[in-house]
Amino acid sequence: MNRDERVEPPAAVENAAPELRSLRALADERAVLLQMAELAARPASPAEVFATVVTEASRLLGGLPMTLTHFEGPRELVVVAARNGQGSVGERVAFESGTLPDRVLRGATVVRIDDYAKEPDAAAALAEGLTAAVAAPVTVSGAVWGMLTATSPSEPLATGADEMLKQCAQFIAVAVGGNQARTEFRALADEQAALRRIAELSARGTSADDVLHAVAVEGSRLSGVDFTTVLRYEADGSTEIVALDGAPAGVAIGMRASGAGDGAVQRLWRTGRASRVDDLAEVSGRWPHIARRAAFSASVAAPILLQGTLWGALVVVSREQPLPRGIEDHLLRFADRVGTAISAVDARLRLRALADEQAALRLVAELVARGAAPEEVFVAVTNEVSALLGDLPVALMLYDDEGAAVVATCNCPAPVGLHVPLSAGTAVDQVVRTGGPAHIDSYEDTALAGVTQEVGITSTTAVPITVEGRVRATLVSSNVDPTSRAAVEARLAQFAELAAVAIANAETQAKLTASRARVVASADEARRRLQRDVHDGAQQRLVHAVIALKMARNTVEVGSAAADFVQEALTNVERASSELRDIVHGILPRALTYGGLRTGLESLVGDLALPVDVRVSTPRLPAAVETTVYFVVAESLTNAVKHAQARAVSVCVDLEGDTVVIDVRDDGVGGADPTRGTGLTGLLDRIDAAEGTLTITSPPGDGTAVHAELPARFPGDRTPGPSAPGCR
Amino acid sequence: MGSAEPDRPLRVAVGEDDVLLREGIARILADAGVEVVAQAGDADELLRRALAYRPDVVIADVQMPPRGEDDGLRAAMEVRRREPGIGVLILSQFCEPAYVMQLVGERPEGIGYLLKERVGDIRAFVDAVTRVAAGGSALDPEVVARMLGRRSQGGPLRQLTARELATLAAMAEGKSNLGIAKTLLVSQASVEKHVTAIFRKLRIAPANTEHRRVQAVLTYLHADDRRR
Repeated sequence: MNRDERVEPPAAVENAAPELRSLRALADERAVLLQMAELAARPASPAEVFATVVTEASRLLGGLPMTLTHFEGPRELVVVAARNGQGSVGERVAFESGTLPDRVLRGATVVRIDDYAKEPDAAAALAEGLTAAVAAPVTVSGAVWGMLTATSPSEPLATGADEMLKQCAQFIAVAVGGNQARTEFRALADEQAALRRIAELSARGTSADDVLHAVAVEGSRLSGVDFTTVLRYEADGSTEIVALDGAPAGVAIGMRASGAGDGAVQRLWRTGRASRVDDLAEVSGRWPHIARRAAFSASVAAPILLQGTLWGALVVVSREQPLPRGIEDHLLRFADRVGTAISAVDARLRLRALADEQAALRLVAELVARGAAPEEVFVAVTNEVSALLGDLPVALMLYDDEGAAVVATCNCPAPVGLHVPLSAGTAVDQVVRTGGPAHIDSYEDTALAGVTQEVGITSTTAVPITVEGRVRATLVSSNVDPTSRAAVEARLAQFAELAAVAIANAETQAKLTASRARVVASADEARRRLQRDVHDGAQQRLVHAVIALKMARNTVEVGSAAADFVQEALTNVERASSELRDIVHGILPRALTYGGLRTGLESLVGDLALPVDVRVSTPRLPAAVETTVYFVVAESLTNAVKHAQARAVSVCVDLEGDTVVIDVRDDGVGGADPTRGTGLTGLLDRIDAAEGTLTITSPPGDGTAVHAELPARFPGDRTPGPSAPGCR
Repeated sequence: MGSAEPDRPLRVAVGEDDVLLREGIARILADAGVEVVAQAGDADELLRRALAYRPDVVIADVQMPPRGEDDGLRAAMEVRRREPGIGVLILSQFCEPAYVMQLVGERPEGIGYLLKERVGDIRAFVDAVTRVAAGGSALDPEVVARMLGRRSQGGPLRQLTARELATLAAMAEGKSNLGIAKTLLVSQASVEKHVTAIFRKLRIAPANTEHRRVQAVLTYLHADDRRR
């Protein structure tokens, strides 16, 4: 199953909608800014850049007046470019101390005025029809060259305007400042392009993985390193890899590390600030260890914030030692911006994790509800749990008197069929003794150190599968990171519960089948007993009576009253004897019980006024099985004679492996309906009790074929089937 | 076959676990001048004694100890296999053609299958024993009737008329032409005509009469098997 294609619940889509709208606006703004940046980075004429920037900036603010002015001394401005009113190019404007231009010039910073009424030049502003303004300095070579000003005739400007104007002012500075500054701003353009690509991906509803991957790829590109990763912090400071670019072998999404150590990621967690490691050999922790093993030598981690809270880290890892100075600022700015994109996918990440788990549980629950064999459920459980745990090794083991045997696995080095004794110190032993979950955090210094190391198992988390208060099996996962073992245990427990239901169901079903089989068997046994009792008792008495009366007939005078009485008695006793013989034959044919299937069936067809071809190639089978086969054939033949108007019937009884296969075909009118008449229904019950199957094919006009298969052994006495296939 | 000489009494062995019935059979036979050379209450004993005394006919109940199943029938068949000259007359409480088929095998000479209660018809019973001893057959009319039901459907018997089929069935019971005439309420000449027609239609080559009758019965019994 492709998990990325799974449909998310409608609620999630609804929640994400405002987020997506703002993301689209963001993408739009980024596109415009990028356009400007590219223009500024090109050796274009300053006039062209001024005009474009002023026009586009005005458009981004919904058409508000936009003016670019150049300081010509401490108290005078000249208009360089303008859009939508507010002065004309070449116009000179003097300004007083404490006014907007004065503050921009002296502070070299963005200045915002939300209400001109409070300003020293309130009267002049009123005369111009101004209410609010924001101005950003254009700084060239450390000096304020000019300012870019947006004004509003009514409301204060949107807060986003400050940042936008600041960037636009930077583009102008590039155009003014020439080549040296241009190089510097090439990087800015790159950053803008990267952010735009990420914002677009998020806005398009691209899968969370792809968005995060884009963040990592852009991180590598911006910082010029080979390996970038995005990590997400858990509440305990542990981290999980959520995105990778240029990962060395053995590093994968979903890998986790505890909060221990003093690498860049751990320091970032503690200080909340971007941090660098110039020599990975000098720090500890899982991530530095992995990076060093893959021949990396330095790293820098920048915080990714979500609504002001530390969400994760953007980590660039380099083979060159160390990473350039100042790269932190660069990454910081980039990581700050990707926060918005991640906030949209973070919800999706969480939802997806939840949906994955629900889907897996539902899949297994449906199997259980369908009454699937426990073996099949076990395989599904190990597969689903392993997938949810990021392909960790998972095994399901059934306890027996001596230990536990592996019955299903996924990504697990232990083979199905492996039997382990209950030795102290193992999770398998702890689970069965305590009836609760068990954790082994390390096998070092234990008797199992050698074997676990050999198969690559470092730790174990196991939960019991309990049926009717008894621990019957255990669900085991290996190499769970200690920081996430509580979550893993909770997941294992949910699936263990389903496995327990599957076991309980199967056993109830087996008991039910066995008890039905016993009912049928005891009925058949009663028939046999009746047949024997009648044979040895009543029938024998009647035979004696017939013989005695026949002999008495010889001793009385022919034509006498006594002779008449004797004859009458004889006639009645003979009739009784004959009727009793027929009754006993109907209950259970003599030929079947003493002669087996072939004799029984030949005797059966002997009574029919219909040619029947009988082929029986089975050896003697248990009486219960022979009786079932006999009645299946008898009922099918009765149907052929009574309803099918058949001219010929063939009966074939074969043994294929451990299965008795019965085929009865006639050339009659077909169209038999098993739901009509009790004969075929009773047959179904009998077949069910014997754990067999029955198929009736009866197309109208084309004869009837009855096909039945049943185990050649007594139901309930079953051995476990072959082990189910392994991990998908 | 036909080893019984007129001047020598028939010798029979009786296997029957019901003591009263066994004694009854023995007395009836003794009264009719038949010598009961051996009696047995279980099948193993019967087999041993029959092979030791070599009677003309072994009379056996189907169901006998030691297993209480079809031990008697099996013992009788074993006797017949080892001593083809000894006739076998099975007594049974069951009207079971399957047993008859097993008993007949490929050779319907010297076999009989009667329901136990026929023992009371002393003359008919003794006649049956005599016929079996002479290599003829003696099948119970009720059993024959059951077999007739299915055998009229096809095979070589399809060419026979209803009268001829009835005649053949009576032959299977072991009846003589006179007996058949009486049963079917026709003249003996008609019976002879039917018998000739049966031989011709079943393509039974001329030979001595008894042998031809046996052949006809065999054809009759195996009609189903040929179709299979």
